[in-house]
Amino acid sequence: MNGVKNLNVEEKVLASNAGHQAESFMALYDLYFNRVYNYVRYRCYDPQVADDLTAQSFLKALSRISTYNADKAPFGAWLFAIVRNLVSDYYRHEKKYNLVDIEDAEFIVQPCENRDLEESAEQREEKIKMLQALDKLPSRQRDLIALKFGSEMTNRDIARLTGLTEQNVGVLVHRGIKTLRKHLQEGEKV
Amino acid sequence: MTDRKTDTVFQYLLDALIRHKEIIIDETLPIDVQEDLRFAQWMQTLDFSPESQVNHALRRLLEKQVDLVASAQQRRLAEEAPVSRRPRISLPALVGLIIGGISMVTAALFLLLRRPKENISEE
Repeated sequence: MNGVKNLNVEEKVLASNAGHQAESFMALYDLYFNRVYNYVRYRCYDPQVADDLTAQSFLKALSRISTYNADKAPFGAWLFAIVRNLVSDYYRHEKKYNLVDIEDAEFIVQPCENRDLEESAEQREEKIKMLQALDKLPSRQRDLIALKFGSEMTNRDIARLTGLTEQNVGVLVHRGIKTLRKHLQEGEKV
Repeated sequence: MTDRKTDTVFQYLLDALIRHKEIIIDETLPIDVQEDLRFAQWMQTLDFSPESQVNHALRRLLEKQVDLVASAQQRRLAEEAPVSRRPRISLPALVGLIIGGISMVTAALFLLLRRPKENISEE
């Protein structure tokens, strides 16, 4: 618990300096990149879209960092509000959505230097199955599962972000897990 | 166990699982809860982030953006500085102003005090 508390204090300090110090924002980026990417990936099947939305999220966060107030909300909640809005916008305007501007294409197609090429075929297959099962979930349930497992938020934080009650979040996440399990089991039988 | 109790137990254990990454699943729990937790535990191990092709390039792009923001802020501060550091009035000018002020007041008083005498002498 102490670890969590310290992390929040550290985040607050970092975020309140982020507009002024390059290192602070980059430290926040390193702290949150995996969680943001995982959240977006839980919601989008297409990895290219996930990359693009992740990039847009951080660029938007940087452009708005001066409006962040550490006393009002933890940095994570503020950041994930931006990410959720971008993903929702993407689904609202999916047909009009241009994946990448030509100017920015360079950073999308560059291969990641640390990409784990030794990931086993079995693990890759598991991930694909999981993404296919997620695709069958209603969008609200998918969002909650993404917040729980992708962004690793607690039910309380998810409730604050979504406007649902903590109890409701818990019930919906539990139902989502049951449904996913069912879809994966059905997939295995076929 | 009722559905509500099952949900509560599951939510409590799931939060613990998310926080600590690993929990020991109590085998006295209902089979359904155990299976859901095992499934959640497996989901917890899924990490899509190594698949991302954007991480390093985005980091570089953000570093550049952050530098731009920082230098714009420094420029703004530098532009604002001359206004705040406007040269103060020099000592000789201040002395001159004080002397000028005193002499003006003295002259005004002199004129005011002299006038009644002139009036009396005329009468």
